[in-house]
Amino acid sequence: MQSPSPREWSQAGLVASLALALSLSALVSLFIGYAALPLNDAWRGLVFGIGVEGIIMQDIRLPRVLLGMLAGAALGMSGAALQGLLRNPLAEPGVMGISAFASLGAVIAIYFGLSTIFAFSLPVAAMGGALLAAALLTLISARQNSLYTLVLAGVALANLAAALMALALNLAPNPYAVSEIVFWLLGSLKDRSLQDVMLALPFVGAGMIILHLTGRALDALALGEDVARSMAIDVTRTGQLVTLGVALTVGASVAVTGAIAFVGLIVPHLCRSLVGHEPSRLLWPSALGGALLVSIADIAVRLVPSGPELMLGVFTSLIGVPFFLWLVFRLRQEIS
Amino acid sequence: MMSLEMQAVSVALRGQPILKSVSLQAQAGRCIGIVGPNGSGKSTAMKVMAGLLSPDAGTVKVEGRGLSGWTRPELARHLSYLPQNGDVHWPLKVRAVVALGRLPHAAFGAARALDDAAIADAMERCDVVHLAHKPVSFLSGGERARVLLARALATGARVILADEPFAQLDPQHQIHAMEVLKAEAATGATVLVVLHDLALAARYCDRVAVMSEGTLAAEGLPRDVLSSDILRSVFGVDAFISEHQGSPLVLPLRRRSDLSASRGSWLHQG
Repeated sequence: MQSPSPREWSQAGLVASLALALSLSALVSLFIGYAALPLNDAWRGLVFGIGVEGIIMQDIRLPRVLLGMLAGAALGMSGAALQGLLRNPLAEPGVMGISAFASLGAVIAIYFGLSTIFAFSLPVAAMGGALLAAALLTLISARQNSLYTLVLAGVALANLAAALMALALNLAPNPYAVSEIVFWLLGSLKDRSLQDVMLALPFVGAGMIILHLTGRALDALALGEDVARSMAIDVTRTGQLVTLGVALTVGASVAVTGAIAFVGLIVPHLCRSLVGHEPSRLLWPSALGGALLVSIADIAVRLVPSGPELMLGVFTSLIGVPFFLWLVFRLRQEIS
Repeated sequence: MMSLEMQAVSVALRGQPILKSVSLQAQAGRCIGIVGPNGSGKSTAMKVMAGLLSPDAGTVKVEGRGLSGWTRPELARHLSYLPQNGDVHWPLKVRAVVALGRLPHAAFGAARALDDAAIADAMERCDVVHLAHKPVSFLSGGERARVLLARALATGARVILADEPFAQLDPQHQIHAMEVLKAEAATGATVLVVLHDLALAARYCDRVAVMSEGTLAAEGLPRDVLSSDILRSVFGVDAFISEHQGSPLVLPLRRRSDLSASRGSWLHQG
């Protein structure tokens, strides 16, 4: 697949470089915004939280930066883990309908007003949706594990979720609810609060720890299920853990940012060319890379001089779809 | 005590009997060849012995202990399994694939050095050291088969179950691989290897088990088992049998038309 490169990054080296790049982009992101703040004022606002600068920095920009990193990490790591489990480089929460089902769960929570009664019902409903989709996909892959069956099943799931969401919008009694849902579905980090961060953080964190635990099992699965089992890997449990971890991370992040597609597809692929193809070596670099990608993309949508701000989910799809097509094309060439 | 033992094992898949009360014993230090036509149950028997498939009836014992008496990690360190047409799903580097063989040991700290030594030794024995940094997707079928053998050896298991691992190797590497397995047996390991090449089985195995339609048709020394009678009745071939430097030489010559008519699977063998 990759031409043998004489120099390969160590995992630690890549993690360190990504962390550095991520801090830089977070800093840049903090000091970019619609309100022109001199650097000095912005800094003071961030640290002391006093006055208008304090509100802008602590209540508007900081949540946006943190949420972008959280969602990106969730999506990147989920993509890497799903690809490892399914042994399919096209697996990704967005492409495979998991994000769409998480959105559906969230829409149901918004639609029935659950989210206004109890704030945690939003992430919980989204994680429920994600869990349902991930479990279905794992079941399908257990029956027939071919590169394209899964992607097609994912497309079917994504369409089903879209249809059900359209139904919800159709029946929505209130036009404001409709526009709110539609904008939220497009995926954005705009106008989020620290409360949103706190809502997603525990679940994303728990999900990432669960995914981390599956690393060695995912490596063993590269040799097929029989060999993995002969090496004392519990294949069923690995599938359940990945499903759960993906549902927690993706569900919780979609609940607060909407669906941001293709991050989980692009990032593990880029990391592979740097640290090689072992699934366990890809998990954390993909998490950091995902955080970096979303945070750069969020800088980009604020710098692009469009009238109303370009939605982040729209932006990642615009980059992601051509990438996906290129990947499909390349994999086809390899198979034939 | 037998190192590996199958007693009256029966397996049915989707109502179809695959193994019918098969008993097989393997002694430590021996290389045992399992031969038989396609669909005779060789691979199923290997999976049962590896603990990957629980039999509907009968028992499997490793070192005198039933499989349920082993914990999974314990068994994984003691027994290594090399499947037919081993896939590698990612273009991992050769050394990374071989290193996976150490997974059951889950070593940390100082024990890592032991891992490195085992990996290096296995790669050396299978002649894949020069490929260490190549992705497996770049290798030929034969090179890949040797890498997978090295993975199985790196575990340092005392029982090795290899399911037709050398079908894709050229003659030179087939012989080399058989010598590797034989050397492994000479250190006291128990080696069971499924082979299609009767000549290899005759030349390298201490004992040969012949399977036919889910039963054990014969088991014993190569010279006794690979006789023209058995070859005719089980494989439906006439064979030239001779002796070369003390070991039997078997060369299948022609298909027996009277037998092949009743043996559908045989016709597809070409």
